[in-house]
Amino acid sequence: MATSMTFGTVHTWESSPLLPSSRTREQCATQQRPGKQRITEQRLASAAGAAPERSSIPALVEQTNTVNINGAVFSTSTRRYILADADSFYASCERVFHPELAHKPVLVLSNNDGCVVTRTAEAKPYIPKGVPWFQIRETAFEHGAVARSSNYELYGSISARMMNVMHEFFEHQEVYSIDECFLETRLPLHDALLQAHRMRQAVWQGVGIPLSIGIAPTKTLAKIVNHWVKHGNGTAHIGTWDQFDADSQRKLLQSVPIDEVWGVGRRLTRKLSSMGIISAWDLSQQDPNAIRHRFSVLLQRTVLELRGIACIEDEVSATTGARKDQILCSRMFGHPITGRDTLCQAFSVYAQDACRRLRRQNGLATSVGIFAGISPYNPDEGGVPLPLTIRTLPTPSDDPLYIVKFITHELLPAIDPSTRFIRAGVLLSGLISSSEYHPFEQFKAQRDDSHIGQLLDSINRRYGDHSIGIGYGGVRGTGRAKEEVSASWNMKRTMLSSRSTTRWEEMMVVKAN
Amino acid sequence: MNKHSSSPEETHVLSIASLHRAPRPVPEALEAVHAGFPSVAQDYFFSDFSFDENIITHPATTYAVRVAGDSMQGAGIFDGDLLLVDRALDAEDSDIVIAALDGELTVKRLIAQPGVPPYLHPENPRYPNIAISDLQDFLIWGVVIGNYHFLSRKDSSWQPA
Repeated sequence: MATSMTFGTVHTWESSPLLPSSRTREQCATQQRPGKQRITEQRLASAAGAAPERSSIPALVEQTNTVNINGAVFSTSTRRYILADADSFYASCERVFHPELAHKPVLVLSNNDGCVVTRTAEAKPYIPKGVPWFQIRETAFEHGAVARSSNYELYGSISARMMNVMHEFFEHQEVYSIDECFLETRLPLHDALLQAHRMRQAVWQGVGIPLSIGIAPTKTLAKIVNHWVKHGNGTAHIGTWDQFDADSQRKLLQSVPIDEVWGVGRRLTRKLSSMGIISAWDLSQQDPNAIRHRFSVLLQRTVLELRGIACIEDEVSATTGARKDQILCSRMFGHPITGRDTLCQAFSVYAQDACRRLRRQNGLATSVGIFAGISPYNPDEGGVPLPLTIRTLPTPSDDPLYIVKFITHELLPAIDPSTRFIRAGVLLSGLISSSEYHPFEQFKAQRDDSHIGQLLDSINRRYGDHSIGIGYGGVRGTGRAKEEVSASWNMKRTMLSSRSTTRWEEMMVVKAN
Repeated sequence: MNKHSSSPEETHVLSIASLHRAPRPVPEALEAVHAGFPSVAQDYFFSDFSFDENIITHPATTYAVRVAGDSMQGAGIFDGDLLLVDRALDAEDSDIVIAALDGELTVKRLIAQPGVPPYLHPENPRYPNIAISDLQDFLIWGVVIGNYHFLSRKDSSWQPA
């Protein structure tokens, strides 16, 4: 892990008096991380006192380099990639509508309140990531930590707002995950930095989410710089590859373990380590062509990216929200369940969720799969899991009635009545676009012509999730009440915050008293 | 008493916000096309205007919140009203703001005049002014840009506090 490293020459853009928004940004930073306040003030003071002129900033000459790799000459353009990544995103979302959590350790738990998935900086010293909640509950409360169930509806809404604000600052945006995106710029470095500062400030003020930003000539390096900003480097929230001199760049790459390099998975790590390639630096020194022959063109690209040559294009699906070719809806149950009827209920609910996502992308499923799993931790308990079983539908469909019927009548085999299932899922696959599907008359798609699916969607939207549905035997209640009185297998989310931006009845209340 | 200083560039950047808004789907006119004279009205068919689009300039940073309490009645803000709050705006003197006072979100008028320490002013004589310097923890959450007051009280989703 690259923690608290020091490098030869690291120019501190953070304290540059030329950045108009730096002061307010630092104020934000102190709100966010009170422990850093003293250092920040010192840095501001020294920056203001020492040299308030441009001379305090190192020369920023745009470099257009050419790189010679095995005889082939690549030119490194002046294009830069910006990786903007939210700090402890889920926990930061919980703070948006709850300013009282600002300086407290906040934890967000996984589905069913199982494990800690996100911790704020305040919680990191004594709560390890991924630890089961029941193990650390007492420790957490002793430290005054606040735990929340994961509220993905809220996080999705905040994420969209954050991405929209960022999109206003740079032309090209690739939303990479719920809390991070790549942006591209051809601005000179100094202007790009200014713009990144403004963007960070606008997201903090307008949405309430703190960002860490890495700027580099390639996406892979932007990831590394971003990680350095988050973990290795006191107060800065923005880092650039260009701020390191060659020696520091080498040290930075040497400090990044090979398995933390973007695109290097666990399997590759083992093989690379056996070849003595244990850091990002080691990988960057490999012959790209040899790597291509021995591994893949993907890893060759990573080598080139580590050398500053951009060659990883956008993932199309991330930018355009292009159609996925399968939809999986799978959950852990709140409690283990037994018996065919209960399992049917769960499949019915998940199939309806999956159909809703299918209709949203105007797709038709050509095949349907189901599976149900048992606990891996109680081997003596026994039981027969239901492995993934996929069958092709008689006709492509987006109709929840049709698909639920297919699952319960055709797909679901005999179930061992004593098996305790802990999770189940429904997979819709072989997805095609409904507009491109022109069958012969007799093979007409089983469309949701009655619009029952849409009707169910709008009722659920208005009266709360799962207030109506097909085969919802044990599901009762409206709105939030469903968390308390619902089917026994429904997800446990006992510490759920309000969905303040997406549910009218859960809107934030401000006091006038 | 600006929460954040703003540069001219920043203002410029934010004004582009409206251009990037996702286009709303426009319903097609539900009229069959006949041979002969086309319908004149069809050329003039537009979807109904959107209330949201016309009053919200920064959709990504604007939030709807409910009011609970009577301390802002003098400003025409009553219990159960809906406020639109834009977090992208910098608070100025006499703006109505959502402020976090010691961790709780409240609506007040901000008074930040030269020569006087800034304070929060409830628009109801029964409530005292609040000097910002007295507060442990203070943050301006956003600036209120509008108020929707239900006159008929048919808004069934709200039970007064």
